[in-house]
This record gives sequence, C-alpha cells and structure tokens, in this order.
Amino acid sequence: MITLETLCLNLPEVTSADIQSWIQNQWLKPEKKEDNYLFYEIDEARARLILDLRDNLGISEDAMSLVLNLIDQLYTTRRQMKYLCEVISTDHYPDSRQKLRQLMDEFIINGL
Amino acid sequence: MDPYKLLGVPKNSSQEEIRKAYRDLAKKYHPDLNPGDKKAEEQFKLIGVANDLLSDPEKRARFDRGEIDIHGQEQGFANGAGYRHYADGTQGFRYNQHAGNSQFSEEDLQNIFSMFGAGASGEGFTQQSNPFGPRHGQDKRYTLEIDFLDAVNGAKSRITLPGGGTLDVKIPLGIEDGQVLRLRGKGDPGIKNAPPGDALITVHIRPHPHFKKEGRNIRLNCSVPLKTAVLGGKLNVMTPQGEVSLNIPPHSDTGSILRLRGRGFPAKGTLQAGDLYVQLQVSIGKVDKALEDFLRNQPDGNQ
Repeated sequence: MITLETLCLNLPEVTSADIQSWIQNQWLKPEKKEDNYLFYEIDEARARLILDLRDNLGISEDAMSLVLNLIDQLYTTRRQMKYLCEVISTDHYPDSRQKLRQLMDEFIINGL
Repeated sequence: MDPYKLLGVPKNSSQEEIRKAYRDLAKKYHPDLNPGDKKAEEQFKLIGVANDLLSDPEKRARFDRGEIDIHGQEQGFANGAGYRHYADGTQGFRYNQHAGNSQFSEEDLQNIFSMFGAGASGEGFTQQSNPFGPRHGQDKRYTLEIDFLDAVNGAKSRITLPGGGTLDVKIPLGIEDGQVLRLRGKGDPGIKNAPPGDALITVHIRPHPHFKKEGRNIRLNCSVPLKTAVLGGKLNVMTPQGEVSLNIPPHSDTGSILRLRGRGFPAKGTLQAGDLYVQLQVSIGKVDKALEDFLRNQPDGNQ
C-alpha cells in the first residue's frame, strides 16, 4: 500500500487535488487511516484508468461517474459469473451448490 | 514508432515502393557494412521490424486502423487491461458495484435463473430494460403440507390464499419434500398487458406413522404371527399403493427384511422407482397350553 504522496509521484500527470476530488466523487476508494489515505495496487491502476479515460478518450467529469459505475458493474458480474462457474464445476462451495441445485429443481420442475 | 517514417515512405505507398525503400536502408545500415556502429545496428533492426509489418498487407491494414502497434501488439485501452488485472483479482471486491455481500445472494441467483427461464420462452432480458414498459407480474410463494401417501401416489390439493380465493394444485406422483411446484400465471397480474407472475409452491411432506422414506425407498415395520414366521406363509401387508399379500419364507425372525421391488416412490424422470423394505417383527400373540408345554420341554439355552 502506498500513500497519497507516493501515488502522485507514480503518476506525474495528476495533482493531489485531482486525487482528492476523485476520492470525493467516489471514483477512488482508498483505505483511510487516521488522516492519511492508503492506496492499494488496484487504486493506482484505477487512477491510471481514470487518467486514460479523461485524457485519451475525452470522457468528461460528468460522464466519468457513469462510465466507472458501468465498469464496476461489469467486473462485479464477471466475478459472479466466475463464482457461479466454480460452484458448478468444483466442490469448493457446497452450500451454494446446494442452493443452486434447489433453484434448478425449482425451475426445471416446470416441465412436470 | 511509425514504420512509414522509419522507412521514409508516404502512407499510401505501394508494396513495391516499400520494398525498395527497405532495401536501400538495409544496405545503408547493414551491420556488416558498419562494423562496431551500435546506432546503425539498432536502426537496421528497426527498419526490419517496419518492413515486416508493412510488407504484410493484413498487418499493415491493422496498423493503419490503429489496432496494433509496430511490434504487432494489440492497441488501445492499455490501462484498461492493466486495471482488469486487478479488477478481476482479489482486490476487485473493493469496487464491487453492489449493495452488501460480495458473493451471490439468493436473489442474485434467482435473477440469473429467471433470466434463463425467461430466455427459453423468448421473453426476458429485454423485459427488464425498460422500467416503464410492460412487466411480468411478481411470482407469489406459498407452502403446502401434504400427506405422505399423497406424495407417493399423487393427488389434487387446494390452497386457501391469504387474500381469499383458492388455488388448485395437482401434486405429481413421487414428489420430494421441499420440491417447488410452479403454477404458471397464478402470481400477481402483469403490468400493461404483460403476462402475470407464477405461483411457486414449496411442498412439505408430513411424516407418516408407519412408512419411513429413505431416498426413493420406503421402510415399513410389520408384525408377523409366530406361526407364520416359523413355518412360512402369506401375510397381508399395507403398502402405500394398497394391500398386497406377502410370501413370508419359513424361519423368518424379528429383523428379517423383505424387499418389494418398485413399491417405493414411483419412477420420476430419470429416477427409477424405489423399493419397499418390510422389516418383520415377530409377535407371539396369545400363548396356549401346547406352546407352553413345548417350550418347557426344550433344553435351556436353545432358543
């Protein structure tokens, strides 16, 4: 994890005011420790993504929230799909597997 | 890096012009002609790369469209790919776009499955996209307790709804405890002429005083008179499907188990019908003088 200062050093194109406003908009969600922010690798990658969207793809500030929200939804869905595939193809989640089986029964019974 | 600039040719140059430009430059920068000149060697490699790209019409077209760079690497959204690495990793949870639990809630799974279900009937997916358009009615959930024998043999049952009115439910034979029946169109009415929701009925099977379910099989304890147990004979047994006459082999004892094939839960789908296991319980009944005398004359310890 890195501090705000280090993040700004890693990203010469942004100011700390930029980062602050991104946090305010909830585009970035670093961990807060006392008065300092701590950024994970994903936060830095996300900051680069925001920069790319803003500077190279011309996404305006208004549209950015929407774009990030859609991206987050997409990754959440990807994660769920992956989880679902794992529930189906492995024995790692017996409880969910059971639940899934019930639901499948429920929908398959339509054929009766 | 621009391969056209490296070779010093315009974008619309022909393959012939490119080949010629490459040959001229290759001669100029060839390492053998410039021994020890690092810069020339570097340049020679670069024009080689540029020529490889531009002399292949397919790659050249992709480069012109901005799909690949001079090294043939996929272009565009480089940081998107970098972000994906993390977003698909464990830290991705931190930007979950979902209230609360990061794993599937029951509701999530329901939604996914209703998508499959709706997809099959040619509706669904588009259904949700317009919140003001026609919408399916909500599904309603009920529970229904049924008798054990109704579960085995199938039956018709009736649910009284909380808001008055009744629902007739046909119990398919061999239904399992906890199974859910779906009555199409018996849920809430749809909005704007959309089809109504379904009634989902979870079925619970009341335990039976004599019959015990074990998978698709049924167990039953049955008392048999001493005489029939020792000598063998017929015994009438009440099975879930009605009374049958059972052949008791001689020398049966308490705990002996007889199997009635196919007399358990009926076949359903790919499941075969279960069996009925009858466990015998010898009942001595009324003891007469003759039996008493007979037993008295037996040596002790010979049971």
